[in-house]
Amino acid sequence: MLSKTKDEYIIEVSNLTKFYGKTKGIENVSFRIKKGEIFGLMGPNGAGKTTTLRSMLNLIQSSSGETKIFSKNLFNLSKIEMSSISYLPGEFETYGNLSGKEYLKYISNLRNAKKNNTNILADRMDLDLNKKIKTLSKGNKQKIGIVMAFMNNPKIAILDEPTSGLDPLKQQEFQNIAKEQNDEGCTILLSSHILHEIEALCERVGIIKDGNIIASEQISELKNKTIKKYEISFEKLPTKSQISKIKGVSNLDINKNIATFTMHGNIDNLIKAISKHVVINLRIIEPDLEEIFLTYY
Amino acid sequence: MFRNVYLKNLRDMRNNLIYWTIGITILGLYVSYAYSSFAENLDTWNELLKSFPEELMHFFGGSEVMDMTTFAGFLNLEIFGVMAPIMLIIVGINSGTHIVAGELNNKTLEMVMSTSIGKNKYLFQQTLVMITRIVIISIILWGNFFIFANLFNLELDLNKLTAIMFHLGLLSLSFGSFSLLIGSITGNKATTLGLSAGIAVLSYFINSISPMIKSIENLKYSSVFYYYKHSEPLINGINFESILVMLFVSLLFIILSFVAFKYKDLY
Repeated sequence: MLSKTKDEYIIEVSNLTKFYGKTKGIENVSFRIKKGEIFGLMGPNGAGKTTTLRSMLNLIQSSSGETKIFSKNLFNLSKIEMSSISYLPGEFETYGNLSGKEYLKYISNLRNAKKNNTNILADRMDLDLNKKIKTLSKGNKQKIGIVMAFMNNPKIAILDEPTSGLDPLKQQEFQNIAKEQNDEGCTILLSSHILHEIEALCERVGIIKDGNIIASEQISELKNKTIKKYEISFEKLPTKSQISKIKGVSNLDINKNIATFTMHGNIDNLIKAISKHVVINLRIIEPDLEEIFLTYY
Repeated sequence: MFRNVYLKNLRDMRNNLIYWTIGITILGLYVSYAYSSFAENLDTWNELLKSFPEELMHFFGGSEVMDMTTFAGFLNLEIFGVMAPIMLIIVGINSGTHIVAGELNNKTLEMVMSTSIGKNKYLFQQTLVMITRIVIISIILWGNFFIFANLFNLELDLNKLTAIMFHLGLLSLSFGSFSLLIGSITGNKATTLGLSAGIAVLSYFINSISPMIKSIENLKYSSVFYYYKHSEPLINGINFESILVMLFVSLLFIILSFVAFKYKDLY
């Protein structure tokens, strides 16, 4: 749990629960997002990410729990505050009879937005705004979604699977835009199952499984808590039993003078144990987010 | 035209209105020309019609004031008996269904509602769109018969033509607001269209059949068609009681739609 004061949180989700009839959508989902943070909501399809975001924005009625944005219930937000929130739905569909320019103008007007950098963002995403939306490919429609998410310089951007259907180059451009917007003060809640995207953008993540948040931490902390792989080259190899009795060591494999093993938790015992030997090389292989993610499933 | 939901949807209906105008103009021209062509044989027509059983004529939209010797009487039977109500009910049901169920079906509503517009404002503006569409098509229909009656030198009371347009518009609004309510409850386009069309047909049959059977005669009061046609507004002018009933029904459905939409999950 973060030890920050309440005032620093721009989004506070408390015990959000949604049942569709008797079927659980999400249950007691809680997390908080600091102003200026990029927070990732990770989970496979059907885990409850979209339900969480929709409940937060009152697009669906939550069964219980509450969401506070700018320290207020959504119903109490002023028009200006509401206008500073942008949302990109996971199933992003637009009006096919409009051009990209017309659709973005419409949404911008509904938001009562003052700022508009549509053309700059469209250029960066290689998007032709004059074409009718119904003639665009899925990827190009998604680009409209990306432009829409950031065109009004929002204070909060809530993005549900924003890079769905985008090619790798445009995924990278999305990350660049998101980082720039974040540098300008935009707090981002990013829901995705594309883990390298979360890892590239987010400082903290919430892992959602079967409608429950099962972890919510800094990515670095998550990595620290996770099993790491060690590869140590000794001048003279200690005995197998000397290494295997070090607390936390498992999966030990010895090949010539190199010991390879995995270890969970504090490495103090390891450092103390190997300090009695001449170490030529020590390599710690950090797990990527995907490996961490898989440990929860 | 993209300043708000009302203007955007008004813009969207442009093409649709052009098609309606073309269709109504062809109909108006055809009917006016046809009437003027067989004007000399009208007495024979009248005799023929009067030979049909009253129940049969009532079923097809006729009434005891049926008179083919006037253009108003002809329109009352041929156009305002079945065809015009069907047209305007289609307009109403389509408009009402689109507001919530249609937009949900297209997955476009979620994005719109994530802006600062709010559910009440959205529904209010969309309801205005529905009313505007009904009014425009009613005016096109009114204008057509007014123009063609003058063109073919046919006698038609402008006030009474206006009266039946009021009745027709409110019939359309009653079914449109019913569709809006069903759409706000179910969020399902197919269900909304099916149920609304079903109720419209049922309502027509209740009004056509129940007056012929003594034991269920009073059922006619439950049909909106009764309030549309029983007073024969094209012959007798506006009937304020019927107008009030249809206004009340429409308003009730619209108010209930606001309540249902407030609690509707938008996915």
